[in-house]
Amino acid sequence: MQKVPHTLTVIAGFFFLLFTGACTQPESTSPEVKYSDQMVSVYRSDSGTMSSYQADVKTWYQNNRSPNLPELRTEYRLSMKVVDGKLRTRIDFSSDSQSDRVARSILSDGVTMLVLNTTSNTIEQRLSVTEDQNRLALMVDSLQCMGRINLDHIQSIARRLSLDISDNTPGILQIAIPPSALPPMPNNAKIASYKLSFDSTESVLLDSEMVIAEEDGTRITVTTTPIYQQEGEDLIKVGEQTITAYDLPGTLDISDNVVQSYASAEEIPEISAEELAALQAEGTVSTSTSDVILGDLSDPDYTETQLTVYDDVKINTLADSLFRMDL
Amino acid sequence: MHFVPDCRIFCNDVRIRKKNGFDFTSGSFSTPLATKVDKKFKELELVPNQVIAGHSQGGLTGLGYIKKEKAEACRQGRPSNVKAFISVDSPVRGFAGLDYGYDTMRNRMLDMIGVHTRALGSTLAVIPATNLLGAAYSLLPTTWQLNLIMLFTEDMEMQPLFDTLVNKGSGSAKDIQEITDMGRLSSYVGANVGPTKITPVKYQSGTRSYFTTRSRKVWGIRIYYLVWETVPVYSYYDRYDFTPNFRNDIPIGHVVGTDKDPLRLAVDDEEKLRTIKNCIGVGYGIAGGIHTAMSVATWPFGTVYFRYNANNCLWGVESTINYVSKWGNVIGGQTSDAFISEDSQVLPGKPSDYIRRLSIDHTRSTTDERIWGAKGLVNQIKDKMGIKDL
Repeated sequence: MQKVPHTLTVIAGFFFLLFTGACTQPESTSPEVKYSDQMVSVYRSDSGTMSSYQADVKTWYQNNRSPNLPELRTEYRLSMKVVDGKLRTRIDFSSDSQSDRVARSILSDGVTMLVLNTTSNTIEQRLSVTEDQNRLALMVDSLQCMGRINLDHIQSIARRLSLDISDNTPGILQIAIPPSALPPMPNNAKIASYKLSFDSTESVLLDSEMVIAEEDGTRITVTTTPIYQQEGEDLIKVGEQTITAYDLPGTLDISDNVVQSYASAEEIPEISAEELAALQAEGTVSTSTSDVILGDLSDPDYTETQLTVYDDVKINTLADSLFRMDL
Repeated sequence: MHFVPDCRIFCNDVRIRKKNGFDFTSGSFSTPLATKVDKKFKELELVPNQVIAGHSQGGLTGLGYIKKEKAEACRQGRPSNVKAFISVDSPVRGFAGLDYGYDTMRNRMLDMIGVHTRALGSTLAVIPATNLLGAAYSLLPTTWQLNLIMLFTEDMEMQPLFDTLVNKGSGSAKDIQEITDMGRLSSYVGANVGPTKITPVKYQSGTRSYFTTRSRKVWGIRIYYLVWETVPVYSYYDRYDFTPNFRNDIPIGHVVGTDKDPLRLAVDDEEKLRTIKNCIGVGYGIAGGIHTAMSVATWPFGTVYFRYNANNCLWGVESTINYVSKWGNVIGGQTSDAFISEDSQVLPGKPSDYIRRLSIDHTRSTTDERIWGAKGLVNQIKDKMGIKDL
């Protein structure tokens, strides 16, 4: 077994390769640059092809109109393995993350979804993946989603589906998917556009962007960007950033606002412990009654950033039995 | 069940109870508070030895009344008939929910509705309504959307108020003058309590390290990578610039409600609402997991579609589990009696002997014996003030 140190030394050498390449040596091999405190831990049981992947997933949320630091919103364990040529997934939620404090797992073989109550070891739901949903499941026979991909294969699928492929920008392959090819959005919302961008040099997904138009005029732009880490010759996905921008119609009347506004959290005046105690004693300060709103108070637009980190990654360590669906 | 702000009078020889708050039956919230004060003055002008006890909006009406009563007494050259004022669960410094303005409060409500609407839509996309969520839906009243956010049932008389705030309020400012008059900067509060301006300030309570992202652009391609960042952690406070303008020549006391759980506002339906909340939260959670699994299974073409839907569900879970703070943030009462922030229930400079805190919600504080009974908090404060009933 080959153990990769928990604090790995290179953040996505691929990034650095591109970075340095941009300056001087576009075709150079990965030089060693250390970002020792910027890595998530990765354990690999062997050096063979990736057949299974497991990570503790944590998602932090931040709103650009709030001065609050990112807050942890979701935690689960993600397990994936190719079994008999099919990608199996398992997502384990702890009891703390569920409203009724019951631990649950979601198992999928690409055709069926199983909701398992792991406290009582009983099946709560057995759902079939719909045709609409399955239409998108084109890459389910491999773990390419967690690393480099076969871009030729992606392109051939895209051509077969008559998707709009563009390589006008050097190094970037863009595929636009017509909204009609996607499952309908809930609540009568419409998908205005949907496109994927690939780095054709490194054969990785750069980002996916979906624009949604809601009935009330709200326009939502969702951009998901995977984050990779270099592991030897491989790139391993260790995170994902999703930025959701809400463009709301109209402006707000703030003529009756009583709160001083600030463009950023840095501008909010800081007080010392002594000043706080003095103000509390004279009754002229209290804990904020609601979240502080940053920026132009008449502008209702906001952007949410969701950072998902795949920590404690384990590669090729999972047994098939973890994905059994014949309970 | 009645949820009616009240302005009562306790006198040496007469105890009058007169409802004078929101008219939930009509669904109209357009009466200026000054008009209510005038009406109260006509009723009570000649009653001697008054102790005014105002509940909720009645506290603000009461502050207007005692100021007007004194002015009229001066004009008529007679002593004031009011001996003391006691507020009960009342935003006597103005309603904090309106601090960012009515439009912002309404927008926050709509935003919360949006969170749940998207979460429900994304949930129903993968879980048939006849399953887990079906159980919750069967319990939901017809105005489920607002109830889901505000966690009220139809028999709660608050329903028309929120319906007006969200659906009608934007039509005309006059429709909601009774509500906007309660804002800290309204002309009514300015004249009878004192105007307030708020400056947010921050206090560093520690530091925290967490993952964040950085990016660089290479050959026109933006590359993201993870970094650890250590940053200060701040707590945020409201610093008040308050100019007192209330009548201050008589003893003033306060009964402060401190219960933070809005579900308790639905007195008879609290348990039913908890069941609904849990069912919905579980449904959201399961659907979020399914969408997350689908985002993996349909990579790369379906990832962002299912990720968005997963987020909708998981944000719904978060809003359901943390409904107290979410509710508080919408109506400006994260430290509240589930409706009105504690801070806004107390006028500055009042003796601690005249202030009582009670873990009670805004519905029960209307009639609860612990407040209004013979040995209740109102009478306890009166005793401290040296006021005795005959």
